[in-house]
Parts: sequence; structure tokens; C-alpha cells
Amino acid sequence: MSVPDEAGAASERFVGARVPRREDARLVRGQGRYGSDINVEGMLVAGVVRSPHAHARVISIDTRRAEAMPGVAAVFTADDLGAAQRPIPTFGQFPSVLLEALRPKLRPAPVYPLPRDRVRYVGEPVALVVAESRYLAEDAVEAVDVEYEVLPAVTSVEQALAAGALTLYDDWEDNVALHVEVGYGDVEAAFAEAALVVSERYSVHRHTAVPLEGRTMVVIPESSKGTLTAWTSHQLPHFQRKAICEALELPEFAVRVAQTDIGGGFGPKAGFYPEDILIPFAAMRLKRAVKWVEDRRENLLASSHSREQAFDIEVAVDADGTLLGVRYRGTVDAGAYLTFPVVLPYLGLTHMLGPYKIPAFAADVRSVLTNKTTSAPYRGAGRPEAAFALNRALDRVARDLGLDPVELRRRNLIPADEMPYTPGILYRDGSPMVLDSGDYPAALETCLETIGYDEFRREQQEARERGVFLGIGVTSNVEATGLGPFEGARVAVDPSGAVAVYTGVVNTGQGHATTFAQIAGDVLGVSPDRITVVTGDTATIPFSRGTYHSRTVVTAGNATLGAAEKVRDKVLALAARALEVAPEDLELVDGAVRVRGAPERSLSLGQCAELALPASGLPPGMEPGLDETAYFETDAVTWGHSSQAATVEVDPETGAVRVLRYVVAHDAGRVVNPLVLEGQIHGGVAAGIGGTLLEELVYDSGGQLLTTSLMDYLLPRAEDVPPIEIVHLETPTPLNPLGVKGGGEGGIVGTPATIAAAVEDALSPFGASITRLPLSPSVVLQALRDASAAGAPALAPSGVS
Amino acid sequence: MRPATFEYLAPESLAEATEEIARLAPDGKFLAGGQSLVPLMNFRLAQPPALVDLRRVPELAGISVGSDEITIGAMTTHAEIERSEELAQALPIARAAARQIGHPAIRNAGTIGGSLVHADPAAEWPVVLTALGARVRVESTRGGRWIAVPDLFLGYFMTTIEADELLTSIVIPRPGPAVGWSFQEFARQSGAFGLVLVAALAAQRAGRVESAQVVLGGCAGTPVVVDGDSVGELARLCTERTWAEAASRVVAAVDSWTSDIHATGEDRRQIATALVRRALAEACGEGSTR
Repeated sequence: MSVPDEAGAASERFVGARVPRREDARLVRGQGRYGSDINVEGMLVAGVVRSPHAHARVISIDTRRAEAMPGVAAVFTADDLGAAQRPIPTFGQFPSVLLEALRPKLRPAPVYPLPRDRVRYVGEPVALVVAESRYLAEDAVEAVDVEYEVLPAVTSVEQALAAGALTLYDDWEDNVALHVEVGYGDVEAAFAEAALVVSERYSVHRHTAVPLEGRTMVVIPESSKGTLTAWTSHQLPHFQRKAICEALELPEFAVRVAQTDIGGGFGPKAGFYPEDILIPFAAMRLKRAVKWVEDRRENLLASSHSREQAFDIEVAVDADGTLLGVRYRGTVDAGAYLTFPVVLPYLGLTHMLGPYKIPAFAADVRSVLTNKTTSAPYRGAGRPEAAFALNRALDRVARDLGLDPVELRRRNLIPADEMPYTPGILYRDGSPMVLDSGDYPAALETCLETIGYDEFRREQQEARERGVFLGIGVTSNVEATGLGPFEGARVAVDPSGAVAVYTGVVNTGQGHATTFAQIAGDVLGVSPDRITVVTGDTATIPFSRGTYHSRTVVTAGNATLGAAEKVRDKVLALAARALEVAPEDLELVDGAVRVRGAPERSLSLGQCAELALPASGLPPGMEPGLDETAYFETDAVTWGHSSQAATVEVDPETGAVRVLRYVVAHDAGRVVNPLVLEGQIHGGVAAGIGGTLLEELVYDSGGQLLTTSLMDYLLPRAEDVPPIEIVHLETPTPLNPLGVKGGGEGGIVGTPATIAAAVEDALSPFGASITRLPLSPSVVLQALRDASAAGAPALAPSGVS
Repeated sequence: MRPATFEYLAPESLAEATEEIARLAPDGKFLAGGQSLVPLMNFRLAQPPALVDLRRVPELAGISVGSDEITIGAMTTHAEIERSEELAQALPIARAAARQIGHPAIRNAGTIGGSLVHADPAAEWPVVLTALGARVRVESTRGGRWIAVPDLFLGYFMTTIEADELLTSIVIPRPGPAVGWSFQEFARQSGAFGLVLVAALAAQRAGRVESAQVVLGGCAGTPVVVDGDSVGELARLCTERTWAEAASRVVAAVDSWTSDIHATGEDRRQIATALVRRALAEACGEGSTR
């Protein structure tokens, strides 16, 4: 960790070092404080009455039986909510620039705290029960008598788009909530002159995040003051505060929203749900603390789903495989309501360009309502789906041209000397999409070298002769990270010398307590283990956007840098005056400021904080306190990228897929903490393997979710995930002082595409095509049957008797 | 996911347990390891008014390996079976099967008796014990009786045990030293419910397979046994080492294949064909055929 600084003195540098995560010792010892762990005097517990029907009119709700049960404090329905019964705010809207530029067809389909007359998915809240315990609440939930008039359920986009389909809203003529068309270049000409056009439908199935801990909320009203504190697992506490304030008609100062320890976020906890309004409402109405902890069934049923999208894609290439144009029609199964309207469709279409030079592009994307749980961002949020479709189509091009898929990519990756690269469309924030930096071909070559591509081809051949079918997949991908427009951080030193970093972004497990301390530590000359990081608390910083879009290291990280530099400058000014030297002659080391070359002449940071107290004779113009806030503002996202390679073994007799090796050559710009970033990539790849092979939210034709426990919704386990080999390439972005890009989603973006490519490669002797996910035994066996029916060689159990 | 209210009883003898259940009839339910019943109660799919916990009943514990028969108490956990060296010597297929059950936390709590009476056709013990020709003892205040394992199962989650009867032990005839075995399970991931399970036993002498027994699990509502004329035919095909043909005979014994969200009936048939081939070859000493 020690490197010489410019003056030649050994000085600790924390950014770039593999600093172990400071939060882990506490968390792995069971000393975390999660929503479930919060218990206060007189606290009540909420239970939610949920619709058993996918689509129904609510005729009446009779709460009398439930209210009469012992221990039941109240049962609330839509009629009780008063002003709180208003559309819940939707995050991820189209910015006005995009609306004006693209003129999408966009119809609001908002969520209400409780439905007044209609339910649109199984699990939709219809009433809230508040009782002395969760047991009693669940007893009372069963005793709320709801009369429904059941309507036919629309459970697929095909059904939803069929002529004359039943619509989820009576005044809609169809079920299309969003339709957006984007493109550039002369697409018609590109396809007209193409030597080869590949046309295929690729589809990704419905699955979602499934964090270890569900959503939680504990609201403690301070009744005499008319204020409340909400302990929450939400990824966006400042927005959650806004939502609560609007619904309950409270000023912002009256509501404190603060994060607990959180067992994973991954996107679904960035959404706004009925419970986000109902729990504060109940607490204020009953003047008692109310806790709600989402259980696993509720989590699978009613936290947002994701990923279900079909791509009808066409790719035009010339005879040597150079891309001429891409066009596609995307169809997002949005579920029952339209939340985050811009995210899944638009992140998808921008990532459909990948790291490739595509001269002409046309996207036509719709979000379609169905009677299923609302679809919203999950780690990757449209990126993995698009990367799957694009890379699959490129692999198909390679196959049709008789070209190695890696060679096809070599011919089409944007070269490093063409950076920054501007494809010609707007990003989701309305600013022009600019791939800011990176060496895509270098990542690909690094990845190939690490996995040993050529050696694997030999090994694969030998294995086939033994009747063992191995495959390799290689893909290249980009990941937009660090979305603005701003994030803030506050750095404070008190007279004891303690250093604290406050930021509104939420730590759902990313290691913020470590990385932000490293950033501040370098500036202030303080070891990270002596810096406290407080995240996700509206009481500590006025403005914040929150945690999403792999943005925290970029936005909050650079804000931390800015705030720490402001504190450092103040420390230097104060110490220079006290020690009677020029600020340039001072250095910050080990929690003290000292004269270079004369370390005995020093002041501790605590002494500097004393010097900064009000009425301490501060220099003219200097505000009191070593407590500084900085906001990092940006209108450009940073683009990370990776090349990924997987090797798999497929058993063509059973459809079993085993991932043998996984390599990620990843560029997240300058790396603050390689350990933390590797953890992010490991987690992303593991989740990607789950989503590709195992996890699926299955509905029956009546709209009942069949996978409401982890017996049926299969999460990846340790043995499903091979060792993941990571190589960091570090191309600092010019877009921020730290040179950092986000890394939270880079692992997962390429995983489905990479594993699908490897499986198809393993099955190449049978001619099977992989066009849909998950790669369950059923889907793999069906792909083999389809290939066999199409005349490809059937399974010859050579090597087996 | 909290159970509805129920009465909890913890008798300390077999007699007390059967008396409690008779007294409660038809509202009582025995609680063994709770690995199936408790989740059902948490989902409120089962709401038994009373549970009679068997953990303190001494007569239901223990593994006893005799020269001709092996007796396993109903409350023996999967983990105890997995770890018993004596049992692994006498009946190695038991350890192989135990290791496929859920994961360690489930095996530490779940019991062999609980698994049998739950009668999940994708569970390991019904398949293995059917192949081994085991029988179970059931007791009630009305007296006791023996049930041969194949006769235990009526269909998905249904047995021939009466509501007041308690399965107390499983008795397994000890296979001879010349009996080869194989246990194959195909699950989407280890610990997940098996899509197809195969238990195979083969007795060989001088290169000839004298008898071969195959039982399929996960494929239909109960374990599927190859019987009748097919038994002799199976031994002949095994002797000839024509595994693929033997496998097709075995899968032909399934009338109607289970189809669910994890695999269609056709998928199961295809997977079972491969697994039976591998199981027979392994049981007949061919080692892996992959």
C-alpha cells in the first residue's frame, strides 16, 4: 500500500489498494441491524391482503371480521387513505429532452397505494392489516372478505397484443403503455447492400433479483411533533422521503428516512410500492410504530419482476462480416403497471449497440401491460437482455459466414483510437450517447488469452471424441454507469479527530464503508479504518439521488473526493497559519498535518477542528467547522466494458449444463478497490448464471405465479458457480476527477450471452440453436429436438453403449 | 408466512404418541423433522389444529445392522444415515441416496420416516427402499402391522397409512455381497428436487446377471417398479450388456409421465432413459458409461 509520493516520502495510498471490506466483520458475526431487528416499544406489525386473482374488479371489501380479531389494531382499505390515495411517484421517467426528441407514445399506468376498483396481478395489495404481531396480522389477513368479479387474465404479450385483446385499462384501445422508435444512419440502404442478413427472435424469460432480505420498513412516528422516522431498505431514501411527504402532506423536515443494514438491493428496492406509503400512513394514523417485513413469498410475488423481453432482430453484414446495420423490434412484458418507463426499454436499446461499430441502427420498442407482477429494473436493467440478443445474433452471423465468432468481433469492435465514440443517439438522460473511453479490442484479447481460447479448441475436440461435449462462448459488452445528474457527500472532522463521510447513496452491500473511506483517506491522510461512512440517511445530507445504475463510486465517490478536498484545503489554511509556514510546505499524514521535513511540527486533525470552531478567530472569509459538502454534477454517463468467456459442459442426453470456467476482462476505469470490484463482478456473474440456467418466474395461463418459494425458484448455489477469473483493465475516464466508472452491473451484462454462446458451441455437432432462456434441461433438450427435426444429426451415442 | 395457531404436544413414549393422536383424531398430525410439513404450514396450505412432535420418542431412534436385516428408526435423520459407517458398509446405496437429499441443514433435521409418509414421488427414500424390498412397521392404539414399501404409496403425497397410525421403523433385507447397485438422481441443481431418480440393484454370478431391479422416482405419482415378465428380460439384457435396450424396457413401465414447470413428461422420459442406462451399467460393474 505504500508508494512514494512526489516528495519521495513514503505515504499511504488507499485508492487502488485491496483494502478488506470494513463492514464484513460486523455483518458476518450477525451484528448487522436489519429491518427485522428493529423493535420499539408499542410497535405494531403489518400484514398485506393480496389479490388471489390476476385480473378482477373489486366489488366490496368487508373488514369487520378481521377488525374484531384479538390483537388487530386496524384494517385499512383505499377508502381510508384520504389524500394518500394518489398515484405513487414513478422513478425513471423519460426526461423532457427525450420526450421532445423521440415523441414516444407513453401512457401512464400508475400504481396506487391500494386499488379502489380493480386488481391487475396476483399479489397486488388490496388492504393493510395492522396487528400486535405478524402471526395475528396473517390470521386477520385471512379474515378480510374481499368480493371480486374475476376478469379474464392477459398473461403474455402475444395475448395482450392480439386484435381485440382485453385491455387492462377500460379506456385504452390496446395494452401498449410505451412505444418508442429510435435510430440513426440509412438502415434501408444498409440492409439492401448486405451480403448476409441474419434474422431471428431471441427471448429472455421473466426472473428477478431475489435479495437475501426482502423489502423492509419500520416507521416510528413522533406523534407530539407530527414527525416520523422511517427505517428502510429502500435504495433511494431521499425519493422515498419525497413520496411519503407528498402522500401524507408533510414538509420534508418532518420526515427522516434512513437505511438499515440491507441484505441486497439489485434494483427492485429502488421502486416505489404500496407499502412505501401504507406503512407511514398507518403509523401516523395509529400514532404507533409500525413494522413491515416482506417475506419470501411476498418478495417473489409482489416485488418487481424483470427481464421478460423478446427481440426480433435483424443484422446486416458485408461478405467479410463487417456490420452494416442492426434493426430490431423489442417487446417488454411490463406486467401490470408502468413504472420506470424509460429504463428497461431504453437501456436495452442503447446497449443493443454494444461495443461495436454499427453504421445504421433502428430500434422499435414497446412496453406491453399484462396481468403479471410489474416489471422494473433488476441489476443490468435491460443491458443483459440486449447483450444477449445482440451477441446471439453476432454468433449466428459468424456461423452463417463460417467465421470464428471471436474473429467476427475483432472485425467489428470500436478501436481504441476512435474513442470517444458517438454512435448517434441520445442516452436515457437525454444527453448524446458517447462511449467515453476504453480499449475494447484489448479487453477481448486479454479475455481470450486468460481462458486459453486456442488450447480450449483442442481440448474440445479431444473431449468430443470421448462423447463429452464442451463449449466456449466469448462476448464483448458495454455498461453505462454513473448516471447523473448529481450526488452529494459531506466530510466532517470533529475536535476528537474523528472523520466521517456522509452520503445519501445507500449501501445495500457494495462496500461503501470501505471505498468512500479510501477516497477520503487519501485526501486527508487518514487510514480508512478510522473513517466512519454513513450512507442513506436524509438527516445527514439534504440532497441525494440514491443507489442505482452502477453510479455510486462515480457520483458519490467524486463528491466524497470534492468534500474531502474542501476539508483538506481548510486544514492546510488553518495549520499554515498556526504553524507559520506556507500551505505548500504541509502534508497530511496519519491523521495529522505536519511540516514537510520537520514532522515534529504538526497538528492533529482534531486540533485543526478546534481551530475551526466558531469564535476561534478564523481567517477572514472562512466559515467555521471542518464540515464540508460537495455535489458532483454530471450530464454524461461513464461507459465501462468487458469481454467475457465461459466454458461449459453440456450433457446432450439430459440437457444438463455445467459452467466450468468463467473469465471477465473488465474495465471500470480507475479501480478504487480491486477486492470490492471483484466482489461486484463475482456477484454479477453468479446472478447471471442463475438467471441463465436456473431462475424463472413461471405463470400459469390463469395468471397464477407458480414459483413462490425457493423450492421452485432456483437460485444459484456455490457449486453452480465456477471460480471466476477477473482481469482488470484500467482506462481512467476523462469524465471525472477520480477517473472511475461503475462496476456493479458489468459482471451480469454479458453472462447470459456468454453462457448461451458456450452452450450452443458445445452442441454444435448437433446443430442446435440457442435462442431463448433459461437454459433449463427442457429448453436444451428442446433445442436438440428442434435441430434434429430440422435435419441436423441426431444424438449418436457414440462413446456410449 | 406464519402458520395458523396450533396445539403442540411432545410425548415421550411411543404409547403416549399413539394415544395422543387417537385422542386428537382426526385433527392431529405427527411432526417428524418438519422439513415438508412446516413449510406447508407456513404457507398455510396445511393448518393442522394440533401437532404431536416425535422428537422425544425414544423407540423411534437408531440404526441397527443385523446379519440378515437392517432396522432404521423412523426418526433417524438423513444426516445420521449419511454418517453411519456401519450402514455404509452394509448398505452403501443408503449413503449415496442420503447425500442427494436437500442440503446439510435439511439432512440434519429431516427424517427417513417423515420422508416416507410425506410420499413425495421425487423423494429419495421411497425409490431406494422400494428397490431394496423394505417394509415398514406402523403402530396405533388399535395395534401394529407391517406394510411392504411399494404398498405404502397411493399417489402424490398419499399413503396407505391411516390417520391414527405412526410409522415407527423401516426394515431392509441385507443385500448379498454380490449385489451391485447404483443410485442416480438428476436435479436442476444439487439439493433441488430430483426430476428423475433411479435406484438399480443387480445380482451377478460368473458374468451372468441373475436379477436386476430398477425403480424410477420423480416420473409418476409413485415410484415405478419394473415387474412381471420384464424382470427376467431385464436381467438377460443386462447380461448381454445391451444397456440402451434395457433402459427402454424400464422406461416403458411408466404409464403417464409427470410434467411440471421444471421438465415436461417427454424431457423426463429422455432423462430417465439416460439415467437408467447409466445406473444399470454401474450396478452391473461397468462403471461410468459417460
